[in-house]
Amino acid sequence: MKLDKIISKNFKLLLRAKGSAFVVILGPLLIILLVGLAFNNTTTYDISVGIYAPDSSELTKSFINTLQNENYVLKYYDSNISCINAIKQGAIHTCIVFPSNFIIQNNASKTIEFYVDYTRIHLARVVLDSISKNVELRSTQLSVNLTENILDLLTSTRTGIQKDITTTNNIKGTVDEISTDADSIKSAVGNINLNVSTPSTTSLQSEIDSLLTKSKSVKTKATDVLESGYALILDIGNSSTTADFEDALDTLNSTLNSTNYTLYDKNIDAYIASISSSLNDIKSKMSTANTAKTNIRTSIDSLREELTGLKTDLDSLKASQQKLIDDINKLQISSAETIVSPVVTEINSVVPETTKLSYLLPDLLVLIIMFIGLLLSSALLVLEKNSKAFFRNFTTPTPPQYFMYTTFLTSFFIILIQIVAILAIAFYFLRGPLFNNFYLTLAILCLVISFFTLIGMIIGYIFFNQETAMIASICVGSAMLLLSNLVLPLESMADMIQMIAKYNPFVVGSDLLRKSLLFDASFQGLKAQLLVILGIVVVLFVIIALVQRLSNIRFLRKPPHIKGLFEGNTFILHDTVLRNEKDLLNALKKMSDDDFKKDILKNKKDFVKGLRIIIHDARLRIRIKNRLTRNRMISSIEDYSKKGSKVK
Amino acid sequence: MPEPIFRIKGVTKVFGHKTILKDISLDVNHGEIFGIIGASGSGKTTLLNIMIGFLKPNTGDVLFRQDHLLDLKKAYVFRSVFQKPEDVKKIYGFASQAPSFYGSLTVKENLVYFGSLYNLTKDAIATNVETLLNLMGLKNSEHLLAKNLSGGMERRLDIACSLIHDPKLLILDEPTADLDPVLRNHIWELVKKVNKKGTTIIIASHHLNEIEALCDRIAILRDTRLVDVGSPDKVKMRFTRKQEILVQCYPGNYEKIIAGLKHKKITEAEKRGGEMVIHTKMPKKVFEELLHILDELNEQLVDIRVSKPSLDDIFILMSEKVENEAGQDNK
Repeated sequence: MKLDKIISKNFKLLLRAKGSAFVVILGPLLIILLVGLAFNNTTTYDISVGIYAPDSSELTKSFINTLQNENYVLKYYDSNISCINAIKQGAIHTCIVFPSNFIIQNNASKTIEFYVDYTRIHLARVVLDSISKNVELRSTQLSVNLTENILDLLTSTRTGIQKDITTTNNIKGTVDEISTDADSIKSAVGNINLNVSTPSTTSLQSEIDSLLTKSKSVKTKATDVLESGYALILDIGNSSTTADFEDALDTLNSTLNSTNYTLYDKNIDAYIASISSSLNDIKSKMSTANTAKTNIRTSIDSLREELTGLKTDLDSLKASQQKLIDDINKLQISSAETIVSPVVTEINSVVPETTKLSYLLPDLLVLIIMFIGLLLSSALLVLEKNSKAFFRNFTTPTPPQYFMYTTFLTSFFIILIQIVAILAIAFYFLRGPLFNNFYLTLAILCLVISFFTLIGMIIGYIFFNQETAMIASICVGSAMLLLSNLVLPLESMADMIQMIAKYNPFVVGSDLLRKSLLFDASFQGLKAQLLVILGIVVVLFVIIALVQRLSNIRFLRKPPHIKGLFEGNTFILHDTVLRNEKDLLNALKKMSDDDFKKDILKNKKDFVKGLRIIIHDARLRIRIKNRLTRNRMISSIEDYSKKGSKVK
Repeated sequence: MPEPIFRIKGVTKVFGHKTILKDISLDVNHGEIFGIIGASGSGKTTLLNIMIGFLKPNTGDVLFRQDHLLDLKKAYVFRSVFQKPEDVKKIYGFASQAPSFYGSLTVKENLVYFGSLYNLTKDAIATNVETLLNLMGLKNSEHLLAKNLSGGMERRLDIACSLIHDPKLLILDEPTADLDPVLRNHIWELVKKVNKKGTTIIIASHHLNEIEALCDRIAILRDTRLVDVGSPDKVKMRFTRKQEILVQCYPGNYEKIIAGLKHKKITEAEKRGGEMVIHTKMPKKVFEELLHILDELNEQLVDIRVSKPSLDDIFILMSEKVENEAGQDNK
């Protein structure tokens, strides 16, 4: 009953203060809406690129075309100086200076210069990332072309060698055949028997003589036959049959008569002599041939040896060729892209990319929680402390801790509602699986909200007015923001600062949320970090309880003449209600110098606040404020009164 | 027989080296309207803050009467307000110099809210709110935001907030500060109404004449000390028995009249504006002498009034006395 009434009162106070309601409640929703609209894309950043190209070579054009295709806004400049100046003036984000005579030549690399404004460090990084990526892409394309030429040559070489290996194989086969043929020849030559057994002409002579005797005998017998034949014919008489027979006998007779046996004998001797001579000649030649055969076999052996050597050389050649091919084949990387960029860095998102907002969301949520938590809880407390009703709360039997709890719960619920609304809007924009890890995300959000709300409450208890509390909240928030990854990467900071920043609740919170929202981390995985934050939250609760106690004691036990300064629009000094400068003058006159030092000089801030209530003339206020002694302050007021200036 | 509801016993309060209250002892009785008066800086607010347990005295104690629920033989006991501050907070309502409520809540919302802080039931809050809205004349303004109320209504709402839990004791610290006379009268009327319902009231104010008219008893603080406690008449009588005779005559040669009075050894007379003021402890004798002198001087009596000294006069006298004593001490 009591808690809900106090929380309900806090809500009413916040909602009825239109300014704070708008800023605190609608502000974050507007921010997320704007951020959602702004970052709900995956397109290239809208970057203006200045270009200075001394000449327009094909290569330069190709680079510029690459940039144009990426939809960069290109602006051309006459000189690199004017291009650089344009960056300084903010007309462009980066300047690219192409070299003159920009062509690819042997052993000569060309440099493309980038100019960025590092005072806008994040933009510089984005620009460099984006532009240099595209320029490097074009550069890589050129390298790929060159490498492809080399690879083509290598491929044709390999094909040529393969052909050579075939030829070598053919040659080797031919050599083998030659070797075989040589063996055959050698064998054939070896098989040629050139040993001639010369026949004896004497036996030939005797045979011929025997043959001659026999032929003479045959002739005698044939003559006898002829004679018998003629005799027969004669016996038979003439007739047609005997005529043919007689013709045949005549022919035989004539043949027999024509044979000159004597001459024949002489010719045979001559023939035999001739034959003998020829045989000797043949024998001599066969001897020569035998010698030649021997020489041939020797030559064939020599040829075989040479062929064997040739074959070995061919084998060696083939092996070399094969090795070359093997070596070429061993070059597993055969694509130009692989050779140019053997290691391709492909940056993949570990979460499905939807829009840039999805990456920003954890940081954005913690950012909103941080600033709203700090501002809202501190504002609520200062609002309460400065409200007229603050004093009355102390007169009730409600323990002061209740007000602490309710302030915490009010801030907590408002921020939680805002974050839920933001997540709903983000869900609409992202269409992503934001609520997969719902309970863990909720737990992290609750802890982070609690943390920043409690820090805001400490600020609220320490400071007295909205302005200082707000400045303190913004300072604390900015410090945490500065020591986070959102402004500069933590890794780029000094080691000492890095150590501190690692424990920055902003960093821890956004890290936890990132793991939970985007990586679907489990509770077990985040248990340690969650327990750390929970521990910090508990410690903060204890600290706040102490700070609240001290703050209340300070408020209640403040000497009354000082405490009264802030009650409504009444300026009370030493239990005297002051309404104008005359009342102040009287109070100063009654006051001792010691009281003046103690109550005014040491509480100058309160005193000045009181002056604002009763004196509307700024000049008089300043004059009074700057007087450091009681008498001088009195003189200032008296002088002012004498001149008749109009003072409330 | 007066029944004390609050007992202040030998309270001394020092801030740093400055003594604000010194050895203050007094009782506040049940059902009375008790006034605490004193010059600015005399420690009135400090005393009230000590009474409600906000400030701890350096020495002494403040006791409040708590009904004894367990021991029927003892109807009540006195307990120190510093032992268990929550208990004393239930029996008093406090309205400080500056109205204390939420400007952004309506009149009714303020009352309901503060009622809830006293652990009242929903029905009790509703009943008390209605009663107070009617009693304070805020019924028609119940839905107005408190910041839009006039000064008098603000003060009434503040008192209503102090009464939401129906306390036995209502403490008002300068309840009419910054209010015009008409609004002041309205507030005093309200205070009387509340008192008639049986609520004991303690008022700290520097409107002495109004305190005098309203309070059953008063306590006068002067330079850290309690100078006197009692009914206004008794206090006045203790400090002076002189009365004022205001004389207006024609042609009004007051210098001669005063000279004549001095001759009769009536020395405390002065001309004030168009009339003459005579201070005396024996008004009857002075009156007779005065008529005689007027007759001698051929003065025609136009108007004559006898007036008792106001609390203001007493306070001035008291201040002078204290300053004189302090001067003598210094010598």
